[in-house]
Amino acid sequence: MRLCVHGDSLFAWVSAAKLAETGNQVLMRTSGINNSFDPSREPNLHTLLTEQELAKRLQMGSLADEIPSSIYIHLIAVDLAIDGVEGLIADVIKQVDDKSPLLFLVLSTLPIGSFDRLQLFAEQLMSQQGRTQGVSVVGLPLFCREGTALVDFSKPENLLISGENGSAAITHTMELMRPFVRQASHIMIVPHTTAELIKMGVNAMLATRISFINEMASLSEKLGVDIELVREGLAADPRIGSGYLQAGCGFGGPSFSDDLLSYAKTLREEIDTSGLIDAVLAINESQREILFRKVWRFFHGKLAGKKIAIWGAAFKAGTASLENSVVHPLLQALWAQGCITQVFDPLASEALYAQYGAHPLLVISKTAEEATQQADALVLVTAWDEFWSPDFEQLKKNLNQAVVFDGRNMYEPDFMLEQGFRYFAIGRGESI
Amino acid sequence: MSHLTPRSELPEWCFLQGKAKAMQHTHLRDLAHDVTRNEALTFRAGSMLLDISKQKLDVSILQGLMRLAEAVNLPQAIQNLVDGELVNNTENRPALHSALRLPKDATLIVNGQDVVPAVHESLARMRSIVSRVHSRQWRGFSGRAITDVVNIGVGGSDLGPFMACQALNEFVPEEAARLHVHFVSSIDGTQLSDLLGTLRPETTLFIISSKSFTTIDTLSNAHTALQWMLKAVNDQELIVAHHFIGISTQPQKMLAWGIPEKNQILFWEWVGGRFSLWSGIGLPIALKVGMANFEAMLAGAHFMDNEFSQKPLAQNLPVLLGLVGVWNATFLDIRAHSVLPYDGRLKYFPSYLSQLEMESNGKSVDKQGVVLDYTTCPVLWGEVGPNAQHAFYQLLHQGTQAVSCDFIAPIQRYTGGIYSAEAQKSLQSQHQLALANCLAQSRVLMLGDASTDSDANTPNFKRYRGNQPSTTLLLDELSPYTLGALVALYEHKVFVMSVIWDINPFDQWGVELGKKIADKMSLALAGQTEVAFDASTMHLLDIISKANKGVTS
Repeated sequence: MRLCVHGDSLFAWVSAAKLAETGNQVLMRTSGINNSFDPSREPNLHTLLTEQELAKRLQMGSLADEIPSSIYIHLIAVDLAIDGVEGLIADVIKQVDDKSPLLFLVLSTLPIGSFDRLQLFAEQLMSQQGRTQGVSVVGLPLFCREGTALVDFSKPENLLISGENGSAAITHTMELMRPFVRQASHIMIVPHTTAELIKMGVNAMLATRISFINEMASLSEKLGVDIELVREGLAADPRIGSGYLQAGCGFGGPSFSDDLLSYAKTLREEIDTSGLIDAVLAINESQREILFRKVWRFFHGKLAGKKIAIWGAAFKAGTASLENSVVHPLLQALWAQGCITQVFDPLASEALYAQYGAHPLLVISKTAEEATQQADALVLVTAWDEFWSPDFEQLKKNLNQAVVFDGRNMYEPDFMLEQGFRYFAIGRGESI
Repeated sequence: MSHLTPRSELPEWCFLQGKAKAMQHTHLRDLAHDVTRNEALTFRAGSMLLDISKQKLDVSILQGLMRLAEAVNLPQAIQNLVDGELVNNTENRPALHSALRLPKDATLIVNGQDVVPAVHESLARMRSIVSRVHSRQWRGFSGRAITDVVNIGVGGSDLGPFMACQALNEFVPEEAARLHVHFVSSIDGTQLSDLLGTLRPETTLFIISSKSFTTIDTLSNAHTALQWMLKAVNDQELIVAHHFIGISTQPQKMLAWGIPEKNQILFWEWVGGRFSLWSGIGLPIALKVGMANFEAMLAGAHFMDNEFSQKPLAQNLPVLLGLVGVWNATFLDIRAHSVLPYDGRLKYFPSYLSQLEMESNGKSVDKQGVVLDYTTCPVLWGEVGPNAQHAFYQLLHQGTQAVSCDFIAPIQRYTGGIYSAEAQKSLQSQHQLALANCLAQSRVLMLGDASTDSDANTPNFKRYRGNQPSTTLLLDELSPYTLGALVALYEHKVFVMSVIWDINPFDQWGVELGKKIADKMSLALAGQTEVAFDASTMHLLDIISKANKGVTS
């Protein structure tokens, strides 16, 4: 099949690569330099894209280029609000001829109610222009996670498709997705709003688990209990399981938080209640500053001139993205108190420099060790592999005082104590 | 030299007395339909309109008031005020609230020193504090950001900021949306104990506002606040450094209380307490509505300062308002004045004005120390107009007291895009209803029965006397800028009246007395002194002392 992918989000790159790999002719339209996602950040993605380009199944273009008149399948994976998506749909309708029905597959995450609105918008536009070929919007909410996005796409846990069941558009979509349908654990074809609610619900539930364990971590710390043991006990119960149950310094990421805010807004508007999700978000907001508060209390609020080493800045290990990372509130808070911050991140240094450039209190270090030179404390933000087993002897020598604030619970409190460190983690280690 | 002649012996004064006598026999309804008079008695400054056509005066009286103003050298007095002359003669200092509103590039030399840089330094310190609190980087002892600010102050350190915060609630910027600003003033601790039950120590910031930093009301509340904080963390240095800001003219006294220099905002002896909301005392306003809006208030007040010091008397809004006030209180002998805003946001404007006017002009001795032989400041009170209609308007319409009124209303309201279309429509029609009430009430107060359909058969209890004079003040809309201009208008009005009356509006010896006698009585109440008081007081002390013994035994 011939199809066009609009956008440069993670979803855009992954679907373009995988659909080309399965034999389709794919034209990809991106913004070029300012891509919202850099495909080289995702393992194997760049290689796959290059292969498909060489095989002439994938052709790269720009969102500014004219839309070809004879492609009838359009994947919308842009990082735009609904008005922007409508604009894009209008452009496509204007450019494409009327030889075949039009199919819009919407991958972008939009507020609840958007898919229905887009369908209506497209139909009205077509009828205004006297077009009779038929137009359908089909929702294809993806559950791809950064780091495992290609596998998540080709072997989905749940392949969720929304639209009018039994319609030609759904049949067409199923045909396009046939190679992956075979490998999907579960397939659902549901009305638009149902699909939107499922997508929101998955994110909200995962966030709830994280805030739940973080709240327990605060209690554990107060009671002198190790949260890691509590977590293990909870996870052993098959009704609970182990996923998304790690205490830490709060969740972030590009879409997670935005989706939750949008979900909370819908809740307020539709059933006039703040309820659970607001509590989840409030706990997370507080959690995102927990490392700062521990540092603040350790130094009795006298932070001016202190030098703080920070390991990790990316919102999670394995990505160069700083989007919604807890490093932002941490840096802002430390700078506001006049701390010098020495940050090392194996992948995100460039992004850090691009965002904060020459902030007088920011030093971007080339190695983990360099970041700790003459620092008054070490704060661990991202669980990169190389931080699991540092040279503790050297670390102690580098630091002005041997104190570690661990936002990812990477070390054993007893071991750290033996090594001569003051060790503060989330729900374990010394309480402060 | 006018100041050597007592006011009441000036020919301009006597002329007005004669006019007033004649006016006693005129009903306001007889003046009501003169279009030329109406035009001559309506004035404008910027977006503010002053209509004094419902006052019991005509053009010749207004001209007579102008001549009196000239005779007592009002223009020179205004110049002396804004130039920083020692207009407060009993305390030997200037009253330079207008200097607090000068733009950064202005110059004002007082005692050989330019005061403008210090004013803007203080504003810069406010800005830095506001920015730290709004960016959620002002941290409490636990490292959490401040969510609640409690202003502890009384009188001028309370009424002005409180009034402005209530008036400008719609102007809270996004970054301050989650910050709550509270006010605590009463000496008995009622407000504070109610409030503390709802707050968390780790996220609460106290502002202690006191010009002298000795006011017992404020310091006792501050002490209670400190004890409440210490119960959370027993580390006074940590607590005071992160939870207390002091605003005063007395850095040493603040330091002695424990407030470090970096948490102090200073102002100056030449700022009167009831004129101090423009100084650091305005910090709660800036925290509530943002520094930009606070500066817009200053700009609005500065606009009015320029009007006051530059416009000829006959077009000068504060002068006109002040002369009308003197005409009513002194010449027509109207001893009560009511301020009636037809806008719920100005709910506390009347109580703010009751301090501004009565503490300033509630005097009976002239600047030479001679007892006056004429009436000065009327009793001033007020309430949101539509609410007052259901409370004390009965007395205005059918009581035996003559009362003058100020009706204040914005023309436009609910124009911002923050409301849904239906809500906006409904709210705008509510505002129209308020405006209609405003105009209808001032009309009935003026005309009485002439405005109703009563006839010869109407019984007396259904009759309206009318003949109550009023001023109508219209703002295009209420904003930080127009609020600033409105407050400055009244400040200068008060000054104008004081000049005509030849009194010092900038001292308050009647209040100082209260501060002293309470100390003596505290000792007596605690049984620590054997002072003999009058029979009534001794009796009450005895009853309280016996009741307390009953409780403790």
